[in-house]
Amino acid sequence: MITEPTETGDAALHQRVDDLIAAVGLSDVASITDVLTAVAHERGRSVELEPLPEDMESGDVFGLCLPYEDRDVILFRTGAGPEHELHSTLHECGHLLFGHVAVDSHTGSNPVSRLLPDLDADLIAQVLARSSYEDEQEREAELFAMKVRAVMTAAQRRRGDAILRRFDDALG
Amino acid sequence: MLLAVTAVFWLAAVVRAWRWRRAPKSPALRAIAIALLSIAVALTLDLPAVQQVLAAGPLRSGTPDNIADLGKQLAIVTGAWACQSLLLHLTRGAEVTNTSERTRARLAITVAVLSTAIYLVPLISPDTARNPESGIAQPFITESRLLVLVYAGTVLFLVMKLCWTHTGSGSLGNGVRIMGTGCGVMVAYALTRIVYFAVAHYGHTLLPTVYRAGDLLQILGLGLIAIGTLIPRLGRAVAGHRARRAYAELEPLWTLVTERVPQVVFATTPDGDATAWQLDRRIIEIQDALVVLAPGLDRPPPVAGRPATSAPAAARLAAALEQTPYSTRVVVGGSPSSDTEESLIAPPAGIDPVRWLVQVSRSLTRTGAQDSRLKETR
Repeated sequence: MITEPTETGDAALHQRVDDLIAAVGLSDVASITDVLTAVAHERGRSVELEPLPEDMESGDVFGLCLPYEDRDVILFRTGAGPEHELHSTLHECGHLLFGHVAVDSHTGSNPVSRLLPDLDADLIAQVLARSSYEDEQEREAELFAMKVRAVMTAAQRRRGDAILRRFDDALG
Repeated sequence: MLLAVTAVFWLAAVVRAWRWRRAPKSPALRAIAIALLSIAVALTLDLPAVQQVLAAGPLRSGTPDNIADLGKQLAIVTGAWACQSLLLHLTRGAEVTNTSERTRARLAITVAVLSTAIYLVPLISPDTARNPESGIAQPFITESRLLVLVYAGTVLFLVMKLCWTHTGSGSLGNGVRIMGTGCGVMVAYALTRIVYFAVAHYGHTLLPTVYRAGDLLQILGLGLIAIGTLIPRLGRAVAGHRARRAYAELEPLWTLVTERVPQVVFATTPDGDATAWQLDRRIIEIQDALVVLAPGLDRPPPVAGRPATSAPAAARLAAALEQTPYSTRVVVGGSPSSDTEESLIAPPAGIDPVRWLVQVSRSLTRTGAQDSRLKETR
């Protein structure tokens, strides 16, 4: 049984994510390329998108973002289909746009350190992995992915046509 | 026929008005709700039963034949003004200014006042009467209608043009296309009426075929417009129903995988369409859990020579999942294939992921049902 939304503390979370989506101009975005372009523009550096290497596919980590000095690299987990890969990628874009840094900066306990043992310790401290939703940063990034994917689905249906979007508001 | 179209139009108008009540700040929604309500009123006033109730008496030559006709004209002008407002908000969005709104309102008021004044001239000077037999084509009434027809016809032409140049896919695209077609038919209706009244202006009323053709075009055009505005809403209702059904069908699979990988559950409340949101969330959580569980699943051997259909693949995944131990919280290692076509957990090529996961979930349900039946026979 699907439950109706109720008033909870999630309202502030939704508001933060909505504000970010509007601020970076993703309110009518239609493709992942447009999202990555917006991320690169906001952060002033290039963004690279790559599948997570097979030897790094492990446990409940579905994506990683590696903020190198000159570029951001998003690694996404493959296997469950393109929609799942898109979701993981958008989650990492959310981290980058929110400017998140890893909450647990001790590389020994950061789950990324076991995936990327050769990575520089300072960089590991900034790596964010899409895994569980126990902290607020993960919740923000996950909600960002959910909302942007919904925007993309609607925008693809309207073929990026602003007038058709307004038709949708008037007739939907 | 007119009664049926009037009923459909009222339905479309009520649906839009209800939506407007829920989103009062949407100017495009307000405009389309007013347009539909106005035309529904005009259609109602055109019904013979309503005209009989409202008519002051038998037709008197050279005077407005009944109050319903004048009311109908004013309702049409109101509808055309609302369509102008709709056009403005659809094309300019947030850039619409009060000045542009007022300009359109002034034009509509001018048409309403002028057409009403012309319509009522025969009341002041009854000697303008021409021929009691000429029925609807009375002097001044004819000119008044011409004015309204030119105004409303021009607005409908602009709406038609906008609809035909902005079509998308799905129920929204279909609705806009049908609405545009309806507006096109109404433009043809306005042209037939303009020809009829223009000829009547010179004292000829010998075009009954043109008039009857106009009647048919009116019924067809208004019917299409009403249906066109209803289709996107209907499409959403159907999508919502399908989403609720899929959500319920995914319950066994979601329960099974999230018991094994509980950390993938993201508990938050949606702020919009709860049905679509919760289905989407359930799909993502299942996919997340499948990615975690995949390295521990026994990959069944492919069936040689068998066409690649999704049902056997779904059944194989369901069987593999049911054998998965509960202790899998984090699986380190393993190497699921990066080629999604060969992946055990990814949908086969060309299969919608929701449909695929529903198939897997149904396979689980069947297995569970068979198990329980076996237990009951012991």
